[in-house]
Amino acid sequence: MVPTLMGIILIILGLLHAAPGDPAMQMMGLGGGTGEVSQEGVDIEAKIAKFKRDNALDRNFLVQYLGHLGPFNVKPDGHELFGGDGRNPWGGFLSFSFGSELFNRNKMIGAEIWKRLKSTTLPLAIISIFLTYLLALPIGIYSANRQGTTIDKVTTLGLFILYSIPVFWAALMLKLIFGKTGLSLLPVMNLHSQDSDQLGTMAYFLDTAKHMILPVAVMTYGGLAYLSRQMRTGMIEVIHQDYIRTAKAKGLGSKAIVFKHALRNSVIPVITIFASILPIMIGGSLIIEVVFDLPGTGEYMFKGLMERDYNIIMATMTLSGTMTLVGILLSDIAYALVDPRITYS
Amino acid sequence: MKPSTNLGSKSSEPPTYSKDYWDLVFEQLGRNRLFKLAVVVLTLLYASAIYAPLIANDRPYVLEAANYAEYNKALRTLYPATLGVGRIAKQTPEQYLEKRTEGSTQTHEEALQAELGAVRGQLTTMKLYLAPEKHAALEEFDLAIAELIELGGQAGTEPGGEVAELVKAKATETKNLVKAIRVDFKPIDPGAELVEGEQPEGLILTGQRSYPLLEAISGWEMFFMSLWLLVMTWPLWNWIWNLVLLRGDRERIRKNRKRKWLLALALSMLAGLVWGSTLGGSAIFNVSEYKASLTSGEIVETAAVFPLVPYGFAEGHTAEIFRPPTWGESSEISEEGYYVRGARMPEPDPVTGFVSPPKPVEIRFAEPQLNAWNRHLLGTDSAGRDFLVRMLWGGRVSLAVGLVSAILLVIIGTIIGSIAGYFGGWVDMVISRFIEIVICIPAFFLILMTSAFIDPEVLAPIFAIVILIALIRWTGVARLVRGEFLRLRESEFALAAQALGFSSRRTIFLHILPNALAPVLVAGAFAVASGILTESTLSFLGFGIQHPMPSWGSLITDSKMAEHWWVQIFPGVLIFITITCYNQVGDAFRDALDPKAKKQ
Repeated sequence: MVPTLMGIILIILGLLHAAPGDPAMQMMGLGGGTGEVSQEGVDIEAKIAKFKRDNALDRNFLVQYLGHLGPFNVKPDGHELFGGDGRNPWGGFLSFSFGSELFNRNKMIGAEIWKRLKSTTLPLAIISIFLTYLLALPIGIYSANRQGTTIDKVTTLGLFILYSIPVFWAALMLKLIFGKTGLSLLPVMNLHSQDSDQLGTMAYFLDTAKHMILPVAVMTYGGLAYLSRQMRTGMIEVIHQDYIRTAKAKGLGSKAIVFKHALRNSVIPVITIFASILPIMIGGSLIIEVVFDLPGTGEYMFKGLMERDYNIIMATMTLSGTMTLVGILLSDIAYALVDPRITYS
Repeated sequence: MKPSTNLGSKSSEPPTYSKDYWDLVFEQLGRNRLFKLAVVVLTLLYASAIYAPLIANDRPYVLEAANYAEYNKALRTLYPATLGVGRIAKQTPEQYLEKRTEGSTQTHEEALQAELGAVRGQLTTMKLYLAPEKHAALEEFDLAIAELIELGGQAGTEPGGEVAELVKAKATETKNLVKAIRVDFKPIDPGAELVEGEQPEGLILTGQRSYPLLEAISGWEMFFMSLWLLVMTWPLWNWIWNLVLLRGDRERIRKNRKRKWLLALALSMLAGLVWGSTLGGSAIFNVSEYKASLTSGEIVETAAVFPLVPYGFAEGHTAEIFRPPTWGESSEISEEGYYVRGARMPEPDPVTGFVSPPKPVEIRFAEPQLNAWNRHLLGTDSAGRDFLVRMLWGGRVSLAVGLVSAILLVIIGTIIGSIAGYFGGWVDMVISRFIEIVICIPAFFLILMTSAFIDPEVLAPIFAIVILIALIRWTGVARLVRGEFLRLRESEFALAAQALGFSSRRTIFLHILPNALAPVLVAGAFAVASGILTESTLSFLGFGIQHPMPSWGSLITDSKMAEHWWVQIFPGVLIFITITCYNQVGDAFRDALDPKAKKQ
């Protein structure tokens, strides 16, 4: 896992370095003027040089890479090994520290990501993963058991169409339908109303739930469609196996066949999908968070991109890469648990 | 697969028709109704994108028009030009050199030639719009001017002599001639109201015929247009070919499969080359200026054929910004330029009662009337550009990005995957590790991140997106191909190829790859869908195709306000339809190629 992680960080940092655009120049652009307007007594060149030194942007690629990977801090206040003064020796991903934002040194990225995860991204992700599995498995099983009937055909086609709807467009359309100009049923922006602080516990909960309906719907529908299709395919495959025929032959009821014999075996491929769903839930909600204006990690990454804040981009990208790794690991473990034939040496 | 069927048919029975792999695949596909529907829809979508310039354009197909403004200008300048010739001709070279304006370095001779050129230029312009029988008077005048200039050239030899007198007489003659021309050749006033029963005074000019739309079509566009024509008529000519030329002989039909495609490609390439080198892409004229003079009546058309939707993809109407689709009621605009109904009605200021002055809508030449249902079928965008036209032209970008990126990523993935699968060992290990790492980073984020940092001036976003998608998304195809190669590497025909001493390249590309391509085809169809989705999402977030170039995704970003619903709905519907169709095609391919799936 660690070598893969090292590779992930190497690729992201390499791309950031290969891409044009200098964060130091960006800082000057944010500081007003394009370098021509120089305040008296402050040399722009010196300012850029200091900015680069403070953020270790003047170090060579390898040292910068080490700085992002950790566990040493390579900035001027970092580890003595890298010429720092030792005030703050540890840093980087391996020591679970993302440092501060590039253009706002008081804001720690790690804390910010945790705050956003806790308040927005994780609740949304957990609810929609839960909903996805809760709805997809019954739909898939139901459809597979009525293979070839009209209901099955309609369900399959409906899921297929659902699967093809672009996420951003679905979000826009839902906003259009349920927002103020349409049915005016649901709030379409943010996670809380503006006056939510004054509400009682129950009212606050209701308010949040109302705000969550649309984002959760958009996050769920794609995974739901995909998972149901997988579940249906897996179930159909299992139904044609010999042991199901045996079960039928010995006169078992259809319920017992489906839930006792078929389900456990058909659920295996569905578990692997968890590996691809987890990272998408953590970071992939970018589009949804941008459209619905939710303060989550995806929106944070978007902010980093807009501001060219390398530190934010590095942190969020690495995090979603790690999440993929964790997802793969988890589904491997789950695989082994469900299917005793599989062993990992 | 192929060797076994061939051997089977040759060995015992007489050579009857046996179905090969692709026969079976096509047969299977033909049974899938949804697949056929998807293919038809996609064909039409691509047709709308490829033929967009023929459907929606501000250039007319045919335009026969007389430019009264140009003719009048020529007629007006003819008189002073003639006087100028006379003046210079009367002077001796010495006098000319004395009097010539400062900075001029012309000699007497050169000055005369320049004046002659000016006069002839005006005459040519006038002849352009005059019937041939009227040319005689102008030619007579031309002759007189030429004589005058010839005499003027000799005048220097003898000041005040006989030649000078002749020059004077000739100058007077030309002056009289040009005066007569000014009266005789005066055109009618095209802007004037026609009075019943009264013949308007002056000449009616004959129009010049031109083909502005066709001239603007480049060789590339011609190539795709003819290719698509052949693709769309394929069922017809394929049927004729098979029945008439091959007499339904299955073996020959199979052998001719490749030949048909090559012929279609060659024919359209030829069309593109011929068009590009002779007719196409040559005309550079300012269409909006031209259209303005047509509207104002400076140019009068005698015959004009416009495309179905007579707007250019970048042609804006400033008074019609975000006008709703004109078949809806809320789009009605009164004569003064106010919206009649809905939220956009002018509201007087509550205190002063002031109503902001309206912007009268400009109705240009060949455009539907102000409140006609088909004026803007899908509304207009933030610059008052017709949305239907933008969507038609935007399809070119979106569909092309999807297709080209998919082709590129399939090529990259196939090459890398086949190298890894064929050679195995450390090569395979390095490549597999790398793929594992790339797969861990969510592809869309990687594309978003890199495209956010690419300067649109260095690399146009359209190319940047295509290249990025291909460079980041090839891993899936590579893994597929690697798996197929690992399987096929040990098969008999691969071993036979190796035993025969074929080079690795030959074994890979000619023997193993063709048998490993089936799953790649499926992945390719899905890759097109995901490419279109990626491009539109990027453009939606503001990192993709930039204005004024339209693409479906960037069209949606034009307005985030819910009252501009048409901006958000229509391009999304097209994206959705395209993605659905490609997914359907991919699904159908997978079912048809996989014999195991057929049973279920």
